[in-house]
Formats: sequence, C-alpha cells, structure tokens
Amino acid sequence: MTYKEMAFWRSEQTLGVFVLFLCLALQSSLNFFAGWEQFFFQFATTFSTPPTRAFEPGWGPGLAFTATALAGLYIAWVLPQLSAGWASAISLGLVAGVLLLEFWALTVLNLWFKLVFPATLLGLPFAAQWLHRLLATPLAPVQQKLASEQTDRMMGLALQGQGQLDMAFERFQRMPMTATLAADLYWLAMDYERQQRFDKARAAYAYIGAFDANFKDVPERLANAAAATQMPPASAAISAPLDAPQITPESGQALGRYRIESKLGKGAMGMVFLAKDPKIGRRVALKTMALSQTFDGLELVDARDRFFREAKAAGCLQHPGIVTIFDVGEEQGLAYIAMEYVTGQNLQPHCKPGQLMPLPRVVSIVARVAQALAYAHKNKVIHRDIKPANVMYDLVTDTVKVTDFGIARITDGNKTKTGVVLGTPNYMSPEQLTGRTVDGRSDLYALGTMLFQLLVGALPFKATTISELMAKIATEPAPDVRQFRAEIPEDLARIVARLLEKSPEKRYQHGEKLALDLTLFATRVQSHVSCVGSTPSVQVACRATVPIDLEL
Amino acid sequence: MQFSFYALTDPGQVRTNNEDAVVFDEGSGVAILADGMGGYNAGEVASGMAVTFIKSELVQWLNTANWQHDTNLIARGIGICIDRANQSILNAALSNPQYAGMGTTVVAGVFKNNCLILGHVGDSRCYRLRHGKLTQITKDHSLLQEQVDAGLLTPEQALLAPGKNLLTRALGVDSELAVEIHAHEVQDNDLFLMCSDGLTDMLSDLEIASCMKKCAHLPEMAAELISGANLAGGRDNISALLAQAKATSTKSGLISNLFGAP
Repeated sequence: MTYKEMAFWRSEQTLGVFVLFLCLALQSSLNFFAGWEQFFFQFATTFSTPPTRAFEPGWGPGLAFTATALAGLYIAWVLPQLSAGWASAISLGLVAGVLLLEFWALTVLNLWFKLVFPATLLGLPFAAQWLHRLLATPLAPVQQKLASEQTDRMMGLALQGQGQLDMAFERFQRMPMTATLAADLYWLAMDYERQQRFDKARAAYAYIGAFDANFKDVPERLANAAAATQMPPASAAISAPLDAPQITPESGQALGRYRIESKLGKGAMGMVFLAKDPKIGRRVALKTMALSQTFDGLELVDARDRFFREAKAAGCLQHPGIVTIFDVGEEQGLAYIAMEYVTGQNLQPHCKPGQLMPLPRVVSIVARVAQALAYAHKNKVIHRDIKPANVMYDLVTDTVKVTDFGIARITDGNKTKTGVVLGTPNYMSPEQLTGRTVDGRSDLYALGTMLFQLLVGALPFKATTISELMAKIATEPAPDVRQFRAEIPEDLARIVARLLEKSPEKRYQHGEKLALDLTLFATRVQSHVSCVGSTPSVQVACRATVPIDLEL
Repeated sequence: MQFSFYALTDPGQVRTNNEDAVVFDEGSGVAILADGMGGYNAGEVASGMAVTFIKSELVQWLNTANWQHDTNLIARGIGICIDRANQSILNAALSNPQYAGMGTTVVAGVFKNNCLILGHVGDSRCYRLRHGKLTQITKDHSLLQEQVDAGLLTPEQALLAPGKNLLTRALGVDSELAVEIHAHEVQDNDLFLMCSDGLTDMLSDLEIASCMKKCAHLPEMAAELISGANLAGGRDNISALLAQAKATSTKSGLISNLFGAP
C-alpha cells in the first residue's frame, strides 16, 4: 500500500484540514513559530561554549523560505509515491536532519537559520497518520466481542437442529445464563425427552432450575424426568409417550374463548388448530398467524389493520361453497381466525396423474367453486389465491368449500419484508404477474389453471425456472387440454381455453356464466353416458354421480 | 492474492433489533452474510445460526482438506454447508416453537487465490468494484427479480414496484433448497461488497459505488455505506461486509514493519 492510498490521505476532509492548517501556520508563523524558534534557539545556544552571539544572516529568511517550499513540494509530490513504511522513515529522517542542521549552525557557525517551521511541516503527515490510526481502530473489537458471545448459542441451536443434542447442550453451558438461553435449554430438554434420554433431560432441567427455579413448568418436568430416570429402561420407554409432548404445547390451552383440542396442520403463516367454542359447543378450525413475529413496529400496526379488514370482508361472505368465518381476534401477539371446521381434504392430491378424479366430479366441483366465486365477487371480495390446496372437498357428503378468502391478501402486495416466501406462481394470472390491477377475472384464470390440472394431472405451463414460467404465463398461449388427454370433449376444452385467455376481457366475465356452462356440459355428458357408457373412464364417472343422486 | 476483510452491521433508523448477521475468517478467506426474518428474536436466531454454522463447517473443512485449490470442490462444499444450515434451521424451528417460521437469506464466499466461490440464497447481494466500476455479481431470488428476468417488468419499473422483498428462496422454509453457486475470477485491487437489502433498498448502485470510491480504508468504507443508508432512511437493518484483494506484496521489509500501514 503506498502512502497515497491510505485512507486519511485520500479522504477530502483530512486533506482540507491539512491545507487549512498549512495556511494558518504560514500566516501565524511569525508569531507562533517565532516563539518556537526562540525556544529552539535558547535550547541550542546553551550548548555552545562561548556565550553565543548567533545572528540571522541577511540570506537567512531566504533559506528558511526555500526550505518551507521544498518541504511543501515533498509532501505534495514525493510523499504520495512512497510506500507507507518508507514515507514515515524518510519524513522522520528529514525532520531530524533539518533540526540537526539548525542546531549545528547555531552552535558551531553562530548563525541562526529559522528552520523549525519547515521541520514541523515535514513531520505533520507522519503525526496525522498515527493520530488517525489511534482514532480509527477502536471500532473493530466491540463488534468481535458481541459476535463471540452469540456464537455458542447459535452453534448450539444449529447442532440441536442437526440432532446432536449433547454437543448443543455443551455449547449452551459455555455461555453465561440468561432468560433467553433458559428458553433455548427448555426446548433442548424437551428434545431429550422426545428421545427418551431422561437423564440428559433431567440435567438440562436442573441447569435451568439453578438459574430460575420456577421457569415455566420446569419443577414438574424435572420431577417427571427424575422419576423416569429411576425406572428401568423398558418401562421408561413405555411411559415415554405420556411424558413426551406429542402435540404442540399449545394444545389444551385457550386462545381467546376457544379451547384448543388438536393440531390440524400448518398454514401459510402459522398453525391451524381444531378448537372448541365452550359457550355454544361448536367445533371450529382456528387459524393462527404470528403477526408480531412476522412484522415489527409500524408494519405490525399496518399488518394488523389489514388482517382485521380482510377478515371482516371475508366474514361478510355467507355461502354454502365458502368456509364461513365466525370470529377473529388477537391474543399475545397471535392473531387468529375462527372458521367453520370442514371435513374432507383439499384437492391437491387429485392433481397428479393416476390420482385424478372422474371427469364429471371435476366438472361438478369446479362449477360449485365458480358459483362461490361469483357470490364473492358480487360482494367485492377477490380471493387472489385460488388453487387446489384452497378448495376442500368431502367425498362422503360431496361438499365443496373454498377456504382462505382474502387471507392471501395479507401476505400479498405489501411493501415490507414479511418473511413470507412465495412458492411457484403457477396459478397467478398474466395481469397479476405484470403488476396490473387484479379483479375477479384473475380468480377465474386461477380456477382455469386448477381445472386444467384436475383434468389432466399437469399444469398448463411448465418451465425449469420461475422466470421462464412467468414469461410463459404472461405471453405464451395456453395449450389445449386435449393434447394431454384426448378423450376430453371439445366443449370442455373450449371452456378451459376461455378461462386461460391472456386478456381478462376474453375470459368469462362472471363466475355464474362459467358455472352455467359447466353444468350444461355435465348434463350433456350424463345423457351421453346413459346412451353409450362403455369406456372404463366413463364407468368410473357413472359411479361418481351416485352420491349426487343419493343427495337428491 | 491476499484478502483483507471488514464487516459492519447496524440496526438502522426504524428497527430496534438487528436481524442481520455477518462473519468472516481471514485465515481461510471465508465471508458470510445473512439477513434473517421472522420478527423479534427468531430472525436474529436464523441469521445467527446460518452464519455461525456455515462458517464453522466451512472453515473446518477448508483447513482439513488438501483439495483447497479445486474450485469445483469448494463450490460443492459451500452448497453442502448451506444445505446443512437449512436443515438445522428447519429442525431448530420444530424443536423450539418460539422460533417457528424463522428463515434467512445467505451469501457465503470463499476467497482463494485468484478466485471467489460464491453461494447465495435470497436477496442479499454481492457486488464487485473493479477499476471504479461496480457490478452486482449475484442475482436476487425474489419475485421482483423473476419478473424482471421474465421481461414482465423493466428494471426501472422494478425499482418502484411493490412486493420488493418477497423471496422465492430462503433458508428455513423447505427441506429442499436450491443454492446458487458461481465462481468469479479475482484481480488485483478488486473490492467485494456483500450486503443486506437494508443497504441496497436505501442506496442505488451508483451511490454505493461513490461511497466505496470515496474511501480507501475498509473500515471507513463500511462506515460510509452504513451512514449513507441511514441518512436515506435506514428502514431495515444494514450490513456491509467488505473484502479487498491485493496481489501478494514482495516488499515488506523492516521499515514497513516498523512504521508500516496497518
């Protein structure tokens, strides 16, 4: 690194200050450096044996001026070319040389050349470099220390994640105990219990107990673990299922006025529980969202607003094809939606080849989804996330329910970091991808994609990268379903093609029209089946219509 | 080639906590930056776990193996380490309900000889400053970037588009993780910047370049970048990790050691 590249030299402020100081120094050299010069003169002359009569010769000021100019030239031109080490060495050497020269002149020649000022000039960059280094360094160590304190905790958690509980425990023990660490240790101990290593669990609980004897339910857990340790291994194994937390710790707890019974699954932003409303004995699905974990500060206020607004909009919807929302609330930073508990499964499993549903059933389901969407769109609610996973179907009762109305919107289109990671935008409409306004017709596009998938077990567009997929959705015409499954009647293929039109104007404008077309198609197929009914796929189709007949 | 590193991270002007994590190991030439998400401590934990774990694994691996010069193997090593960090974060979130839903982005680089092997997931970036020109050498895994790639939005529209920070990939989300890894050639005097979106959302590439060119010392440069982002609003956590490449110097004599530059 040459001197020129050193930070202080480049940074304009330092250079500015330096130049300013130079001017001021020149200005005041008569007063200030005269005093300094005088001091050096006094100091040097004490060494000359005869009482000195040193005087400044007539050409003295000229020499001093030349020396100052040379020092300036050295700083401006020579110094930047040198490496840092050489620059320091030469500068110091020059300072010493100039001062020695003056000393020699004073003591031996009895002549006084005023060279203290140029000598000081030569030494300034060196002083500045050291001053800068002194001031600049203290930043780093603080950072380093903070990091190392966290290292053991993070490494511990990572090891726990790798299933190496002993190494994790050892890491945690290296750290000073805090409430945060106690919480981490608590879950580590639970992991030990799950692995039926009660001696280790006991050690971990005891470690927490030493810090805070009443941390959560540590006393009971400690007692349980201790009891389990006493038992012979075989019985310990038997008692394990009782001890080990089988469901989430929230089961049995209350959330709002609901009593959680069991876990149903994992939603986009949190867990879904089966819960009971004790007041009216109704079973509900409780969808939780850890808003306060996902959002922060002002964003949290905003997200909460949006959450309740959307839930309210979706709460207005009362339709047999839509999962009813009963209640929303928030407790301990956990927002929840209590909704109708629906039996059955979503349609995702039926999107794969080999697991496809018979054609009439697909048509009947999609027609009912279309009716539900028509109702919602009339009430100015757009779903925004129609996909097989959001449509519940119960084969036994033949009910179709669209779920997650409006909720998708909370995660969509907000400007802040939500931590929500998008999957593949398979069901997004072209206008949604190009950032244009989205209306009910986007839902119909998504429904078209879903219909396509339910019919042939493949998505209309396939690509290896997301960007390629998005480009295809936005520009490439959708393929004909009959390319994938030739026996699909032309009427139905036309309905699918119309749903997958790029321009919303060319699509079905309302869900009702779509539902009507699908129902008409279904009756036509049914009459057709009753006439011909021979191919295997159609036989299955006949069976599928049975529940509907029963219902009637 | 010799590499010197410096890292600085700051909570910014709006947030109270810092979910970014930066770490480097000068001896092995390893530098890692992560930007966590999942609110309060969960985001911190995810990013902290990612950098700590990846650094520990990677450094250990680089130090024990004798294939250090094989770029492909290093690239595979980075991929495996990031993948294992992902599993760790997923499992830790299962074990510790208070960390449920945590996730993180990551950029991890190994600087070796004339090469930088860089793996990344999410929207934390790496830039290279060479001959005064700043180039972004990672591509965000975000919906917006995908939209730009697909030609649906121009880069200019993308700057104003909503949903800027919706990621298409992150650690801690799914057990299947695709890590993007590339090797980049390193030249003398190259300067690399890894940063979180708290920096890139606040400062344009031009502003970042001018901040970097203004200073010659890494600590000053990092401070300049962070204060620049803070002045522009500092809406998210800001982190900058700098790495400077220098051809191995031949003149490092007594005088340099006595008075030499730090």
